[in-house]
Amino acid sequence: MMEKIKSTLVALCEEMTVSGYEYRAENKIRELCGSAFDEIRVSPLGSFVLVKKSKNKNAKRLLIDAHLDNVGMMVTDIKKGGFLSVVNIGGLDTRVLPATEVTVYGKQEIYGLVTSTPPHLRKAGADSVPKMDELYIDTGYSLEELEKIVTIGDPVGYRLKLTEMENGYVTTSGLDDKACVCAIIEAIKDVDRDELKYDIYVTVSAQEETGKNGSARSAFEIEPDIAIITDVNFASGDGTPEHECIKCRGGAAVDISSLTDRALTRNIIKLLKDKGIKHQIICEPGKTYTNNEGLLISGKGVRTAVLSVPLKNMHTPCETVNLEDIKSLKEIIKAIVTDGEL
Amino acid sequence: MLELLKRLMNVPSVSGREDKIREAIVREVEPYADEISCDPVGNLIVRKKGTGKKIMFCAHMDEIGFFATYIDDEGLIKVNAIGGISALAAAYTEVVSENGVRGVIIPECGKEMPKVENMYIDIGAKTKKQAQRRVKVGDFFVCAPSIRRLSGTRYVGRPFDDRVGCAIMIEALKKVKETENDLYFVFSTQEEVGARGSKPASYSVAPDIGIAIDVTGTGDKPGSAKMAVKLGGGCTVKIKDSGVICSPELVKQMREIAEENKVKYQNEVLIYGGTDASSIQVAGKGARVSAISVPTAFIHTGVEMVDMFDVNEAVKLTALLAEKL
Repeated sequence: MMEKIKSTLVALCEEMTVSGYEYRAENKIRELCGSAFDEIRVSPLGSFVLVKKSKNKNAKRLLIDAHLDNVGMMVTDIKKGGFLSVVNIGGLDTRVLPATEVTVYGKQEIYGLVTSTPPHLRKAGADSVPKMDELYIDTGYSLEELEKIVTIGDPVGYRLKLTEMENGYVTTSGLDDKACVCAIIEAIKDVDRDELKYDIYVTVSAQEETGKNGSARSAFEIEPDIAIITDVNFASGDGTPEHECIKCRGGAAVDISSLTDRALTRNIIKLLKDKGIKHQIICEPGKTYTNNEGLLISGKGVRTAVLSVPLKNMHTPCETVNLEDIKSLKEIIKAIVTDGEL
Repeated sequence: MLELLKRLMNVPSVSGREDKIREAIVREVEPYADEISCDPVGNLIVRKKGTGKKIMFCAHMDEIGFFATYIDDEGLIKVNAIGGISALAAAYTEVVSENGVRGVIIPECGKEMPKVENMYIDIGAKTKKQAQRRVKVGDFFVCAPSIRRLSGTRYVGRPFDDRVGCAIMIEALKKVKETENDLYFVFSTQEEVGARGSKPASYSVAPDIGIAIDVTGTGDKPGSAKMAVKLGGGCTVKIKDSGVICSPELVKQMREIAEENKVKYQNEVLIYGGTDASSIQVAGKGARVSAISVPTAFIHTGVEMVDMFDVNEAVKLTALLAEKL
């Protein structure tokens, strides 16, 4: 089971999906879903909507969301000496950008490095957190060569290579939120139509990192009765406040928030307890910082619950998750779609 | 084009008070439209009917300005800013009220960097009573409209933002010939206070494709933000601004149509600022969106500067997209 999760995750993480450019993963999504869904369609904003209907004609519509996009950059100008100026797409962690390896998606893919100032040359007292407009991408090309390859507006992403660590940990960029995309696809693939209690609408959604836009638009069209949003959340570790975090290898978390539906959340927790499925609880009193915020108020309004996978190093090139927690989310989703009294 | 621009720029219409500019635009579009309607928030929706794709072009009618909030004992008028007013740009300029009352806007004497909340409009009244006869609390003012040629094809004045977009849509509507596309030209309200009018308009139109027509910044003036867009380099095809990441597929189509028809365009990534495209994208089930912009220096000042070459390229591209998308 872990092998299937891992291979799906590796396949998803090979795709460049900076917000707005999710369309590049269409073939991969179709390939990974195989014949498990009745229909796969693409929304105007670029979200993928995967539909699998229950045999029960009066089944409620259950939307399960995870976003496909991740933070990145966009070229704003081509400079002398082979440098590109860039703007961030989504909330990049600029502390870790200098000297980071990136790929520029021009007419061809080219390698680039974010510029950095060596410590010897940094002015005393200079702010150690660089601003976006002080950083450039160094490509090694001349201006003339670069102008032939790169167009203003081309996306730039972190390098895409998943590395396996010990004890089930994996690291690469974009695990926020491909870890959850992987869990949902693997869960629904595992469930026979006969077992489905709900009509399932999976939104592998676009543009979460730039305003949580994709999933709410799809929800408007789908008009679900219930929606479950899955996203990553901060994992505890050195330097992170424990009360605002969840634990790696503790299973996926059920969020308790003023933005989530109380009865729905209780029902999910009860289901997981009854079935003995590993999970943890996180309390996010105000915002959830997930697609739940837009989805909740789309159309005539939707009852929502949020599930989270613990992740370290959010919005950096080395986001880290444990496969066990993805497996936990997969088990939770399977339980919900087959036995959930929502 | 220039005469049309002059007619539109001369009608003061601050956000939320677009009735006069709407009437002026109705007069311009009437001979060319199949349907004209006004929605509950004041958007003017001009349709050229078709059976094909629903394309919504959108330019905003409103402009930044001031509301009179209080008239003091000296007959000076306190104001509240509507939209992104730069106090630096507004100080010591001429203003005009919705009823044509002329005045000047002045900061408190002795303050080096004025703030809008410390500014007054002086209409030359000797007493509070005299002022009250000519201006009521709630009346709006705008910085005085103007348009003049500096040199060649370069013009300065205000408000190019976004009457130039309205003029481009009107000229494009006149140019459009045979097409199956179902075309909506939306002249929107309240863009300067959060792209508000275009939200209900795009919900009711529910377009497949949305294209905003607005001004954008330039990177070629002292102190301007890092940006590759230049005055006179052609209109722009928008890829991103602070409110929207445009549909890559639509951007590609727009570039191809521009290139095939020799329209000069620039690629626009605007770091600070947005336009109605962001609202169209997230209305209803969502739409594929981008924008055509006119590079404009010194936006939101009394000396907004455009190059008429860029304006004319924008007209060409708008008409081409209406026909060929």
